[in-house]
Amino acid sequence: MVLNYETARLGQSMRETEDELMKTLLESAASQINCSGGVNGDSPTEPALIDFTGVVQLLRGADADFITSQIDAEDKFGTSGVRDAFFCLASTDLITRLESIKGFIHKVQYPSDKNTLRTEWGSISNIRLMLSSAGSVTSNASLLGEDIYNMFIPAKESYSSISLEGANAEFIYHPRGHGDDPSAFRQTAAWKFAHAKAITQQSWLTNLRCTI
Amino acid sequence: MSLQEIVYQGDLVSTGSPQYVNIPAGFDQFVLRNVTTLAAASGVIESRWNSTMAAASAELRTLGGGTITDTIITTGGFTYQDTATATIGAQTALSGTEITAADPAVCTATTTPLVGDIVRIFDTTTMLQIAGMDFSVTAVSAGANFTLGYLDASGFAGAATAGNYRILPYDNLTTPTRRYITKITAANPCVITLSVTHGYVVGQKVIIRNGKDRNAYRFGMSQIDGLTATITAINTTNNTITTDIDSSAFDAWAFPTSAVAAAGVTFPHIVPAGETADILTGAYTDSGTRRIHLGSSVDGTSGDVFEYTAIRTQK
Repeated sequence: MVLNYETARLGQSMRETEDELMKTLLESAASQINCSGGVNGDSPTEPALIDFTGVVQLLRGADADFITSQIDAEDKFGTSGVRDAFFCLASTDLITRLESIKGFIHKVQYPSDKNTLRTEWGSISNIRLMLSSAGSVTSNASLLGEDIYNMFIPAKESYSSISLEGANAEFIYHPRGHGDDPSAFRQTAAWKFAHAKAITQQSWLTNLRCTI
Repeated sequence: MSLQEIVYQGDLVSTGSPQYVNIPAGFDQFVLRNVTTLAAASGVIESRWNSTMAAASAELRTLGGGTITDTIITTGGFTYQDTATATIGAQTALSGTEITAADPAVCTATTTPLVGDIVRIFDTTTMLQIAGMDFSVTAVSAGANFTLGYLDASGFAGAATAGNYRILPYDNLTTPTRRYITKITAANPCVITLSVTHGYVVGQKVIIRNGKDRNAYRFGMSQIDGLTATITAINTTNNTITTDIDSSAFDAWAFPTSAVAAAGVTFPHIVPAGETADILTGAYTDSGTRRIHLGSSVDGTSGDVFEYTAIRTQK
């Protein structure tokens, strides 16, 4: 039972590490645009609708493909259709700010929750918001020295994690007495993997930066 | 409870300046032995650090006149760093003239960084066109000023009258990386100056981002926005890349005024976009690591040969 528990924990650790490594790639190498539609007096400003529509215009102008298809409107009170969309990967710190943007549609207002992700919070324009507590933040980088929140907006096939032959993700378990363990005292549970990561098309990916 | 020790060993040559030793697996103890001074039987022959010590501390073993003396220092020693957990430095105020409108720009401060540090400048009154930008420190007069060697601020209206900076604990964790632009020539070939030591190599391709802010090109040279360039030469003294772009007919590139920047701009930058090579020397690389910084009291004299041992203890 303990091993089952640890296996689950290790699996979560592995995937979170993979996400963390990909996040550092996007932080380091993605093109960036500062929000300017807000009014907080900083640069970048807080996010506004015009900032999101500007990114949509930029990506579609580069023939970037949407990741998700539209969700058709239905005759259900309080719901709204959802457009074809790119994803936006951002921090949960932005929840209050994002929900106040005109045109924000919360996931609960979608006509159907089929094909939505657990981390999805809602949508603005042609962008569906995936929020995480591990969202990217650049410390003290604004004009006034405030934290900047990086909202990565990728289109389809804009970046990739490349598996390496012979180095796929592997769960390792050695019972007690394995190897140089004459007292049968130690056992090992671990994961390992190797991968390469790359931005495959810079024009299909933007880091939209904002403050709160 | 039994202990296992994992030992890593290596050697290095002193540059006469502080430097880092990378040991990604992590360690609890570090021993640095100066083979040169040991042979000369004079000077600091060994310095030690362990994980219980404060940053910049060290135990020094000095040999002189046939006598060994052990001392503990609290500045200029070893500083352990894990890029996964390191945090940005404390806010430090500029003073006096703050930042000069000169080439290169010089920042006045009573607390100064080190040469090679990357500093984040912000809240720069009357020089907001660089507020929020990162710069490499290229020269330091300790306790007085430091130089942003890759910033030509001579075209700015005037010096900054206030400002702050923070020291970044490390560079971006993936290389090649995005870099902010501080100058673009209207020439053939086009030469681009970057604010932080760029690390690019000949053959790499970059995309130049010099876009609109509020429906206008605030930095000029609209023609270069979105172009892909191949790097044909690099200059590490001026931190420039020479590209295969002919920008001689383009509009001039220049920083906007501080007032324009106050309304919000996106700093022009380059991003990596590939490489023209059979062997990928410019492939994406993770640069996260655990490392130890050798401060000015333990980094020896230029040319000194060191042997080091790093020990990690596992229970």
